[in-house]
Formats: sequence, C-alpha cells, structure tokens
Amino acid sequence: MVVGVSVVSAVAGDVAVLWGALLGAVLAAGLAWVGAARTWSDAAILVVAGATGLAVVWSVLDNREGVIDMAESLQAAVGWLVVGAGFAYVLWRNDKGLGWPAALAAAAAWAVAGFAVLEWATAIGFLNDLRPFEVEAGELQVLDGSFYAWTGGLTSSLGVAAGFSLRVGTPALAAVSGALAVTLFGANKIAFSIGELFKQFGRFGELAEQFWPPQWTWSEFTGEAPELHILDPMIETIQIAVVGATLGCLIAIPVAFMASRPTTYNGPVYWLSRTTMNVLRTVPDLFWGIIFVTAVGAGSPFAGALAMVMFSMTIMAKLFSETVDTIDLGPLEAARASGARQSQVIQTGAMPQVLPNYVAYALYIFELNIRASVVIGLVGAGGIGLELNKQRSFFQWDRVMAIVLVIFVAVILIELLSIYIRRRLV
Amino acid sequence: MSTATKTRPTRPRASGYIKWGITAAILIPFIWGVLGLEINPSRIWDAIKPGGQVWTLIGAMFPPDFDKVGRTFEKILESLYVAWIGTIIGALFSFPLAFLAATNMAPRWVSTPVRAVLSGIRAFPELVLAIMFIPALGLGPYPGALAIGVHSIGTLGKLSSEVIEGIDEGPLEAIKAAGGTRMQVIRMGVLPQAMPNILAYWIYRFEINIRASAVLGVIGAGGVGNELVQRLVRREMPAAGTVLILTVATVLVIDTISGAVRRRIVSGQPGTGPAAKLGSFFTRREPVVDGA
Repeated sequence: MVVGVSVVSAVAGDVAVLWGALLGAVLAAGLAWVGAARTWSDAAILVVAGATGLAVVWSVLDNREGVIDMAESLQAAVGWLVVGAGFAYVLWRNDKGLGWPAALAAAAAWAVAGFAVLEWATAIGFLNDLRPFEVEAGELQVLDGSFYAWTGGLTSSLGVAAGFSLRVGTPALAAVSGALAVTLFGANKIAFSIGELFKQFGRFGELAEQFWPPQWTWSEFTGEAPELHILDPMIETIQIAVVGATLGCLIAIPVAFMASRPTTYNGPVYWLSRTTMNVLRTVPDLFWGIIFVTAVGAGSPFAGALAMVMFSMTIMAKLFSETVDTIDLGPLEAARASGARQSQVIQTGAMPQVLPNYVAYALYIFELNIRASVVIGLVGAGGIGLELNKQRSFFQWDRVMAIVLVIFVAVILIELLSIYIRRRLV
Repeated sequence: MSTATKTRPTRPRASGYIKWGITAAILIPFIWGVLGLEINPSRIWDAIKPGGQVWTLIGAMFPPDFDKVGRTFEKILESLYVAWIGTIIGALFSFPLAFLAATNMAPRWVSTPVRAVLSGIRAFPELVLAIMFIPALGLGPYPGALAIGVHSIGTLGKLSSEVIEGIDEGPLEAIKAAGGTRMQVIRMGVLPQAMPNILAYWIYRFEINIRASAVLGVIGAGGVGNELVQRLVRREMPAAGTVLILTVATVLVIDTISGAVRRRIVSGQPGTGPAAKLGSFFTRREPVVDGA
C-alpha cells in the first residue's frame, strides 16, 4: 500500500509527462478509430510527441505566478508544435494523399491555438484567478496543472478538430471537441485535477486510520456511560420514509389522474396540474428539507416527513400519470356509457388497470425515500442524517464510519425486502 | 389473443385474507411512523393552512431579491460544472467496465467480480462519498465532483452493461465470420447497436447529477445548495427565493433540452417539442430520397 502510494506520488511529481502521454494515447486511439493510424509505431510516435511537447509546455508554466509574457507564450507554443508535429506526421505517413501542406497546417494549427489560448487566458486574467475558493495555506494547493490542463485541453480540442476535419468532417467531431472544451473549462472552474488526486493519494491512507475501526458507542456528555446513539435516529429515518412515502403516494393518486389525458378532458385542469408537477419535480430532495426545516423548525422529524411527502408526491405523480396515459380506453368508455360519474369511471375503469404498477412504484419510492430521508437529515430534518452531520462537524470520523455502515446495511436490507415483496406481488 | 374464444372476463376475486393483509402492511408501519414522529392533524394544519408556516415562508421569499442574480447564477454554474465533470468521470470509467460486466462480452470469471464492484460502488450515495472525500481533498466543488463521478461509475456501468447484453448477436457473428478481430467486433458490431442507448443514459445521468450536485453544496462541496442554506440561515428570504427560482428554472430548461436530445438519439427521429425544433434547425439535412 505504502509502496504503491509513494510510486504514484513520485510519478505524479512530473505530471506533465503523464498528461502528455495520456494525450498522445488519446490521439492515437482517435486516429486509429478513423483509420488514420494503423500500427503500434504510430501510437508510440504520438505518445512520445505528447509527453515531450507537454514537458516543454510544463517547463515554461511550472510554478508560475502572475502574468505570463509573450516570450513565455511563444515557448509554450513550441511545446504544442511538437505535439502537433507528431500528430501531423502520423496523419501524413498513413495517408500520403493528404499531402504535406495539410499535415503542416494541422501542426501549425496546434501551435497557433496553443499560443492564442495562453495569450487570451492571460489577457482576461484567467490564469491569475485560478483559485475559485479559498484554501488555507498548505492545506490544499490548487495544482498549477489545472490551468495547464485547461490551456492544453482547449488547444488539444482545437488541434484535434483542425487535424481531424482534414480527414473526416462530421458533426460528431464538433460535438466531441465541444464536450472536451466544456469539460476542461469546467474542470478548471471547480479546480478539478487528476494530478491533485495523485498528490493527495497518501492522505486517503492517513484518513483510513481515522475512519477505521468504527466507533459504535460513545457518550453524549462527559461522565456518561457510552451508549449506542445510532439505532434510534435510524429508526426515526425509517419512520420519516414510511410516513412520507405513504402520504405522498396517496396524494399523488388524484394528482396523477388530473394530470393524465384519459381521465381528464378538462384542458385547464390538465395543463395546470401537469405544469405544477413538472416544476415541483425539479426541486431537489434536500431543498424540500431545507424549506420545511426553515418553515416548521429545525431538528424536528416532522419537517423531514413533510419534505418526504412532497418528494414522493412529485415523483409518484409523474410515474403514475405516465402509466395512466397508456391505459386501455375501452373500460373507461364502457363505464361512461353505462352512466358512471367521473369518480366511478376512474374507480372501475382506470384503477384496476394501473393498480399493479402503482404498487410497484410505491415500493420503489419507499426505497428512494430511505436514501433521501438520510440526506435531508443533514440540514436538520431529523433522523440519522442529523446525527451524521453532528459527528461530521466534530470530526469524529470513526463515529461517522459507524453511522455510514448502519445506513449502508439498512439501505441494502430494505432494498432486499422491497425486491422480495415486489416479486411476491407481481 | 383471438377474439373467437373471448368470453366475459370473470372478476378476479382477491380473498379477504390478502386484502386485509395488504391494508395492515401499509397501515401498521404508517401508524408506527406517525406516532414515532409525533405527527398529528393540528401540526400538519398549522404548517399548511392558509397563512400557516409554509405559506409564511413562501410569502417572505416573494418578491425575490434580483440583486443577487449574478452571484446565484455563478453558484448554479458551479453546480453544473460539478455535475458535468462527475458525469464525464462516470462515463469514461463506466464505458470499459460495462464491457467487462456484460456477460456476452466477457467471460464469467471477469463479469461476475466486475458486477459485484459496480453494485458495491452504487450502494454508497453521493453524499456519503462526499463526506469521505472532503477531509482528504478539502472543502469545495472538487470532492463533490469526485463523489458524483464515483457514484455515476456504478450506475452507468450497470445500465450500459445491460444495454450491451441486450444487443442482437447477429452482426457480431457476421464480423467474426469475416475474420474481424475482437476490437473490430466491438467497433462495428456492438457500438452501433449499443451506443445510442448508452449515450442517452449518460445524458440522463447528467440530469440526475445536476440535482445531486445542488444537494452536495449543503455539506460544503460547492455549488448552489450551500448558497441556499446560507441565505436561509441568515434569514435573507428574498435572496433564498431567488436561489430557488433560478435553480428550478435552470433544471427545467436543461431537463427539457436533454430530454429532447435523448429522444432524438434513441429514436433516431427528431421529436416534436420546442427543444427538438430548435435542435433540428442546427442539424437539418437534405431529405434522403428512397432508392437513390
């Protein structure tokens, strides 16, 4: 374990070469995909070019602070030229018909793009504003590699687009380059970097010691005998889930019939219920928790139950109304023809058709509720989440571990139970 | 079903025993929960009656404070980035794993352990993963993205492997018979069949991850959840209203667009919704003449 960690961190020390090799490998895979690279030596050329080129770029950008000047941008562009040259050479040697001007153009596109992006990023102060959140000194340094990944990544996508479009011009290519650019931009914005993960790898081992072994019993106040503080909140969580699922699924029945064409001919009612449900469904579970905790008071499982009612109701109404949409209209017509009221039509014509689905959905929602009611506890809506949040804020990781294990077992058990019931019913 | 033999269906008769059993199975846990949580009608009525606690809160949120739109939008974008990066991690890692987990692609001794790993990953909610990542990686969106990514590997791996298992074996055999290598079988036989559905699952996962990343903010993993909590804790209700409205609007827009994209990918036909019309404007092609 220790050996593995140290090997990884040693390699990650020069993360540029890793990135370059990775880039080369991706390019090789991409070119092989479109049939523009055919042999292992093609792949080797690309990997070596990637690693060398990015090492050059890295040597320019490593430990940089402040503004990057024109000369440095040009030096970095040389690195990209190396990558681009490798790329272009492989293109050319596999497809002589492509012609060396096209290959040269691809290489130049890389270098120009690398230079331009760096200049542009510097001009808008992008590189100076790399830390989107404050970190304590020495706690977690945002790796400089993140801006480097960003500039490199965008150039790569531009270069790949430029080079590939000489060979295959498809919209898919534009989509892939776009996705790549968004990924790298986003990764930079949230300071995501793989190098950082490698660097912090050792800390996971350190942390494991704090998380393990789990501490099952502890005393709430000093001088008290240690007790089990996990079971009661877990039961409360299950109660929240039960009450929320039952009430939510009940309320969802009339709502679903209102939001479904076969049972609701009234236009305004149909559209209003449908739109309301669509809007309410976008509210994440935890937001319901926060809202109800603020409304009816923190620390009360009552708030949690209300949140779960809303959460279950919105999902159930969606699933159930979709089922009602697909029912056979015959029985409804028959009921109507024999003079039934709307409620009787639904009761005798629609309900028997959708009841099995309803039960299956209800069980599914109960499962969802167990997870969700754990989560909403974190904002003070009662249950095991509340306890989890408390121990987390005291950095009692061994207790956190015990709570997590209890949640894990409870979730699995309830899932198994629900699968068993569903199998018996269907 | 032939119509000749159709007779009047007999009403299926559920025995009273089963009926009461089911009623009890629903009612008893419900009553147990209601008693345990000390819920009573007057408390519910206090919360939801006109002018009750919930309406007071909603009243306090309106009119929303639109001065905070810029800041809120930044936070929403951060949540979107977290969801996107998480989805990309999930997609990249689940893709090869899905092939290893599919019983028609990998031998049993490979697929069984890979499946076990995937379901093990899936059992940990994003939030629990984030709680474990935060002490190692610090507060902020980074551990959130990682948690979402890891969880997505589990879910996407399972869904993708099911898609791969459901493909038609015919083209695969044809490629093998023509001397295709294993990679060529995957490239020409499996992917054209499986990729649309897998891609649709990736996009669907992105929708789910947006909600998950909004939630992760609450424990300090960046994004809009933290913003909402901060506003509510400081009792800045109009600002909290802004956060809620903007979040709901963003999720609604993205759900609509990605839903249309998914339908387009899976069916191969443009849909009829507004987003699909917008999409077809960009991807419009010349009509293909049959038999040309």
